[in-house]
Amino acid sequence: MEVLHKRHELEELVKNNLLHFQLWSNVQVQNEYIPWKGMELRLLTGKPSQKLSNDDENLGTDGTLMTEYILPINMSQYKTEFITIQCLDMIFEKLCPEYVKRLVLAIVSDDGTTVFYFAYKGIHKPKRN
Amino acid sequence: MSVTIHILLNKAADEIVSQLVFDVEDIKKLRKLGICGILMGTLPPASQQNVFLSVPLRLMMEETLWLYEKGYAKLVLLNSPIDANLASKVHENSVKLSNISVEANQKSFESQRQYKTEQHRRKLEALGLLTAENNDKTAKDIQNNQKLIESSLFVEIPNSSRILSLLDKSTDEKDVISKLYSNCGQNYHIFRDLKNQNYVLAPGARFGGRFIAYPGDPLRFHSHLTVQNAIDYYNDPIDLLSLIGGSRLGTTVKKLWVIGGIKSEKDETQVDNSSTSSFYSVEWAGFG
Amino acid sequence: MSKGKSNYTSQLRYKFPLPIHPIDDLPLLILHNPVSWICYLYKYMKSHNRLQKRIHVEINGDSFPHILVEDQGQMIYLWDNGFFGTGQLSRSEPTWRSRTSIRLGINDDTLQNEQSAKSQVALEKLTERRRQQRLEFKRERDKSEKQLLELRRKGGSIEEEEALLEKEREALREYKANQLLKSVDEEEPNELRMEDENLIDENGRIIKLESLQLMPVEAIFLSYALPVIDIPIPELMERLCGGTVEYETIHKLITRYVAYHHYRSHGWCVRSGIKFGCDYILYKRGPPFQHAEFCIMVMDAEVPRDYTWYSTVARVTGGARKTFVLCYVQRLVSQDKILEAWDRKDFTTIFSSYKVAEVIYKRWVPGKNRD
Repeated sequence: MEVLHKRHELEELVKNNLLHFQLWSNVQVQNEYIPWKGMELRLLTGKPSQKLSNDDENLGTDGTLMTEYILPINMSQYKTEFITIQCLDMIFEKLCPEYVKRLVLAIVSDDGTTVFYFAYKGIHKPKRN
Repeated sequence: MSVTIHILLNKAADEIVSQLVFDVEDIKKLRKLGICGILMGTLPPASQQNVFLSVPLRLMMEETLWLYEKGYAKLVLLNSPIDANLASKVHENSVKLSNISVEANQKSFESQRQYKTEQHRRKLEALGLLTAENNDKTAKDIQNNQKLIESSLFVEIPNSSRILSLLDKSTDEKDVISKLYSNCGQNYHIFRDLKNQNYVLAPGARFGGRFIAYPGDPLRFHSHLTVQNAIDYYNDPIDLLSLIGGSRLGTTVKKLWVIGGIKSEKDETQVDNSSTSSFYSVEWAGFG
Repeated sequence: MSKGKSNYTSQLRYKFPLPIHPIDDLPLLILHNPVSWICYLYKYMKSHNRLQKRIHVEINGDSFPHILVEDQGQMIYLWDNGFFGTGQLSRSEPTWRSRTSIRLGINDDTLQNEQSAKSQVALEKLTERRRQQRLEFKRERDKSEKQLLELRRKGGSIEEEEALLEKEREALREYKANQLLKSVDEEEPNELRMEDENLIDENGRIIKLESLQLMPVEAIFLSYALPVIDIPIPELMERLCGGTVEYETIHKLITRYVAYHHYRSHGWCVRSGIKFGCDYILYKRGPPFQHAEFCIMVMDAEVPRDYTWYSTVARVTGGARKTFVLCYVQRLVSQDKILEAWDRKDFTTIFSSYKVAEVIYKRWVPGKNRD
């Protein structure tokens, strides 16, 4: 059987960034993973410190902020991490509860920055800013 | 319902140059189908030749394919002027066309003359100026009038082209269509799937994408999607550099960056409406 | 950071453009005093401009290496002398530790770049406040728009509509004015989060959590071109690309480095351009002094791109009001020659086997660009 690489360092980096730079709370690396290109892909979960936009639908029934699901991705100037559309579909299907509409992509670049993007499944309307 | 699409072909290179619609009625029909194209003809009297444009309407390759698949389109070959026998053809054609237009103009002038002379006569009659006694005296006047009438004749520029009917019409539709398919590649699947979701698509080069998508007619709605070139669902990685750049831009222009993956390279000529693509809409999360 | 303000402190702090300094402590040379010649010569022979000790880098990560400087003093040294690297928990300058100390109200005299951290914290707070205010303002505006829709649904007259519009415009203006009046010192006190407890060590200081990360090309530059970091270039290249290589695996890194070296050699401060969807951005001097003027995309001379690609990148860089430069890097010898040199660890031969040429790309709109 193929040995899968863990992405421990990458996950820690994103966790620290969310907790201590963006000041999120409850940031955790999930246990479940999917195998992808020889790696174990895991999501992180966490809650932002405040609402991320006005018409953000990502609110629970009691109006509190919902947990975001975060996918850490490596990015390098001279090689590509292989994330395909199929991979995103699999993550939504296997690692997210059904109500989840968006992933937070945490792109960790080899220039030392980590940037965050929402990826909605399907066609989505832009948020009202 | 059917519209005529003229295919401009570069015969020497065996390439399709563009797909054009010349008939205003056809353009109206297309608009109702959510196919907008780009007007690219100039209007002779317009002072700025790049602001208000006229027929022909240029269609995107994907638009042409979609219309053809839906059975709306009749393809007619517009012989390319970029042709091996260019010189002789142009001369031959221009002589022919010039004769035709001279003839047509003469005919038109003649009928205008008759109409105007008749109108003039009636007017004089109504005013009671046309009596037997001053018949001779008005001979000179009549000549003057003729001059005035001559200068008021107008040249009609028809909405639909007369030249087109003269050109070679034999089209191997299958050949044109398969060329268009191979030119579009997987982008056609993107186009079709979004069209099936009732989006109106337009070329996106100015906005940083292959297409921009409107939720309805572009005159009524803002576009909020820039759709990227199609990638393969299984084998192509998402280009993170362009994702980052595109989504950052999207925050300022209020457009989401949309990427679609196509599941498999099916037989391209097969008409298949089952969804073969999966889309993701990306925007900056607002932090980081 | 307010750009364009080159005050005395930052002039002093960022005195040197690179981490290697000229020998600038030579004694006065007095031509008619031979003793001063001897002093001068002695000092000249004895001095060198090498670093006392090379800067230590750690390389973490498997297939995607992270090149890290962990010593606090060395992090700041690399930032101050040519703006190398990025703090992993900061926007650029590694200020996390100082920022966090300020946020949690902890006094720590070991902090080095407290001043810039302070201004950054203040700036971030301001940005945050503006962002919040904007959200609140938009919420108010949404309310008004809903009222208007309600009125239209009920079929109100045009006069009624105008009266409502006027009233609401007035209300929104007032709202905005009030917002602006709220001053910065109306601060809610910093509350300690549960997560923050782990950040303080037994001495009551903030732990070291942030490292300075160098781009692979920066590390190559600081090892190959300048003797600054403690990893020899052959070792570094092997760590980045693996032991046995094909041309495809090293091509991108080489061309990116050639371009990086090219601009550094011409005196530019080169930093990562991913925020703008390109390879590099160029600063005349550095981020504290002015905005970057140029976006650089490194291009393979042989690889064609379609128009959508060009227009997309140009749209992004144009949106940031930067000049978009296509930097073509062309290989002048065969791939085999490069691989041979790679095996010999002869990187000078490799890097000088490429030629650089630039093209500026600009969208031209006939209706707008009349001059």
